Amino acid sequence: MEYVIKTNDLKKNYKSFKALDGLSLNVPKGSIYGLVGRNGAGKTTFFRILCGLQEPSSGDYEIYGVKYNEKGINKSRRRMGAVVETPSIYLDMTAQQNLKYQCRMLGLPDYSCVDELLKLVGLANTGKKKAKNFSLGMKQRLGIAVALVGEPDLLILDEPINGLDPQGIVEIRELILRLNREKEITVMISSHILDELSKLATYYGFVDHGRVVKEMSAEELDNSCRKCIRMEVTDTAAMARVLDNMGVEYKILSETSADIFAKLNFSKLSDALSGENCEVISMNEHDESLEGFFISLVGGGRNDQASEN
Amino acid sequence: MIRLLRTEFARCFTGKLFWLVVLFNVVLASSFNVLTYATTKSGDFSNVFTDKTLYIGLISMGLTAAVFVAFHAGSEFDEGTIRNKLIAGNTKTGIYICDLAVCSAALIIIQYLYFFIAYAFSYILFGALHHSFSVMMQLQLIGALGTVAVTAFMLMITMIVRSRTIAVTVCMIAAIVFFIACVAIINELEEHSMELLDAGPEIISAEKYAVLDKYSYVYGVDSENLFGTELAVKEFFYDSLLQSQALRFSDERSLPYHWEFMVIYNIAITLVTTLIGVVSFRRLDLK
Amino acid sequence: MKNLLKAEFSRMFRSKLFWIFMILSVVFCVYSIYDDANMPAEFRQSGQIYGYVFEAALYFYILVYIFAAAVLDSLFISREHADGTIRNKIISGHSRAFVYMTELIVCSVTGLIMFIVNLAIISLPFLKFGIHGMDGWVTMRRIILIAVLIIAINALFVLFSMLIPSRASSVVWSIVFIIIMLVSSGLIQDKLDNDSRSRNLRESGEYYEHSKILGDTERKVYKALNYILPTNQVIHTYDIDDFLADYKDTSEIPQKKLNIYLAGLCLLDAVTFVLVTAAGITIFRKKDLK
Repeated sequence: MEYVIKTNDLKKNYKSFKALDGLSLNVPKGSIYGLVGRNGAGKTTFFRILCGLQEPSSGDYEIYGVKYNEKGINKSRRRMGAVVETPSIYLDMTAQQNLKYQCRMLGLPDYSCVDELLKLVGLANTGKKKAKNFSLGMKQRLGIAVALVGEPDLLILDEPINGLDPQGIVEIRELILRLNREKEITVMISSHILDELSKLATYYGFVDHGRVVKEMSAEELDNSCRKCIRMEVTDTAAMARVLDNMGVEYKILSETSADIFAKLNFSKLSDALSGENCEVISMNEHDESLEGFFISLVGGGRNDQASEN
Repeated sequence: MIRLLRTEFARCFTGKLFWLVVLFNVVLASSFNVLTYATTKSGDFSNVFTDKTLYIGLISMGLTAAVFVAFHAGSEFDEGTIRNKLIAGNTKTGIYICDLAVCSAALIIIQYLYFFIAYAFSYILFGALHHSFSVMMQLQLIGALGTVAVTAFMLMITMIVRSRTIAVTVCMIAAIVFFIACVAIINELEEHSMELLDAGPEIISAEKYAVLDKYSYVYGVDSENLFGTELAVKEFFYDSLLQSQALRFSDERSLPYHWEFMVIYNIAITLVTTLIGVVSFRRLDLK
Repeated sequence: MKNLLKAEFSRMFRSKLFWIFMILSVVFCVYSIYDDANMPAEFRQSGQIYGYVFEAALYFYILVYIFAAAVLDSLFISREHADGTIRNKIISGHSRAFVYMTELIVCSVTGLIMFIVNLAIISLPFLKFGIHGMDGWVTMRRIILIAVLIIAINALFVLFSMLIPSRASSVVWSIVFIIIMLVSSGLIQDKLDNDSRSRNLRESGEYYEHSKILGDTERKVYKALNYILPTNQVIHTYDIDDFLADYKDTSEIPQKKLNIYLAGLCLLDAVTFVLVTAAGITIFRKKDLK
């Protein structure tokens, strides 16, 4: 498999704080790579290093097979577009002027892509309005448009749907999918809205405390995401006692509901619950979401701790 | 408003800005005397009088106030924290007056700090000063009113402009322009005085001549080159601009002539600029 | 880098900031020559008088320019940090050295353009008064020195602006720096003038203050600083020939020699430029950008 980005044990320290602590990942060519992590996990720091804004304290990375400290890295970067943290736009220029500026900077022969890009991100009607008067969502879209100037092969998007309305989120999602399918652009995207990411990503990297905890394809994730039975009962404490006796893995969600991660004989369970004066109100099959998988990956062990206490 | 004042004072005195400005002034206050000491040949110290260095803090107060006020009050607009104050129920007038009170207090502290450090270094290194201590304290008091006036002016600009960067640029340029204007006006009025000294009774009466002889300047007497409205305007700036006041303090050995006017102008400038500032700030939209 | 330059020049010439400064500098130039340029011929004593006005206008221009450059460079360059658009340049594959050099070239060229426009304005009255009485060599030396100083001074302000991400802080540091430099230059010049005056009084047998005479080493240090510091050179654009000739009788020094002295001074400025720029690029390369 060909990899567009390869990182090896990347570390970044800010005085005594370790922002990245041995981050290693590989982004396959043509994929939509979703970077998932909590606030402060190191996603934005990683993007900054990748974009050349900062140097790693140790470790290395490659973009299109060129190591970051080699001469050709700037050429590799020209194949890249990025929106890191906040959109990088001139606030005293209009949308069109911002894109024309980017065209000039990249040495493009003409501005033919400007109108098309504005239409693509939904900013075709902004006219003479300066970027400082845009809403947050409009600034975000303009940032994406600027990143798309020059038809990059690799797009890095750090929480691109921040501040977008529901329609905007759908539009950007469809844009990313289109760019990936039609133009074979590799996209690396981070987001907190995990449900949204699950509709996009073909590969995932789960980041926690500055390192990649797990890397997997969307297929592997699907298989790993556990199915469970969600039960609503009148007394989860009683239910917990019964399930502990049965030696079954479960997770209490609230005073009246819990998820059970095992195949059970429900008649036996029902009888046992009746014995504890606990009634079953409802029962249905439930798939673990990306959110649930992520929490179990990085926040796992909490239920075990709670039950021990 | 008391809660707001308390919060603002805490923000001022626990923030980096105040202590950076204090440090700058401490270095400034000590450096002139230390440099003079280092470059004066030993044995010649008795002939060195460093009174002028005591008032450099006041002369540079325009720039100090520009930076301090723009960063302290202007940052609130850039960071959006002024919205929190309004949402918490404070009025725009209350916010403005608080900012004025805090910035004035901080800058007066800096002014006196400069003075005492410069005085201490002067006294320790050179011993003698022309001014008596009581005169110096009276001058510093007039200077403190001038500091409040300058603060009010800079705050008016900052609250109208509502951007830290533009406020600091405009305020610093204004401070530099006022300084240059002060020097030019003082030079011109000195030449005007020299002309009057050589003039006959048809230009200047005996009474006024006596004032001129005693104080080296007399107000309201036209000369060939300077007269009418132009003279009146220049005399107004001569008395009202803080840098001009400070330059005169450093030259004279007692309270300067027309010191009462300095006090009145300082108070008037404070009131007028505050009124303009409050009215404008209340009308302007915030983002 | 060509693309970067094109983009940055277009940004500069489209920006309101540039046009505000250009208009203000034109107004300033017109104001400084207005009274003399309008003076009827019958009141003029000789064409030489406009020559003095021209020299004074040049001198005041460079004095005001150093403040204008502090503000213009800071506001123009630090906008890149504030808006985050400097990231686009790095992400696009431009090296940090090129990004730095681009800003330096744009700011220096802008300064030179403003100087040329203003030079043209203050030269217009020569059409009315003629240039007789004006020393062409002195004027040429003055113009060359001012042009070189514009580039050297921009190097200093670009250094501050590229390394200080906050716009407001960048403006403050630049203005405070130039004030400190000017005050230092004033003090250095004061020391040298007092020394010179006291020595002359001593030689003529009159009363002088011994404390004002500098020791040999001290004198050398102050003189060196007097030549090296750009702000000292700015102050001396007015009496440039005396400055170049170390206050000896310039009528005894051939023009060629004065030109060689000027070349030496320009070389010093070039060294300052190179050192400041090299330091700026080195630090900027290591700087983490957000």
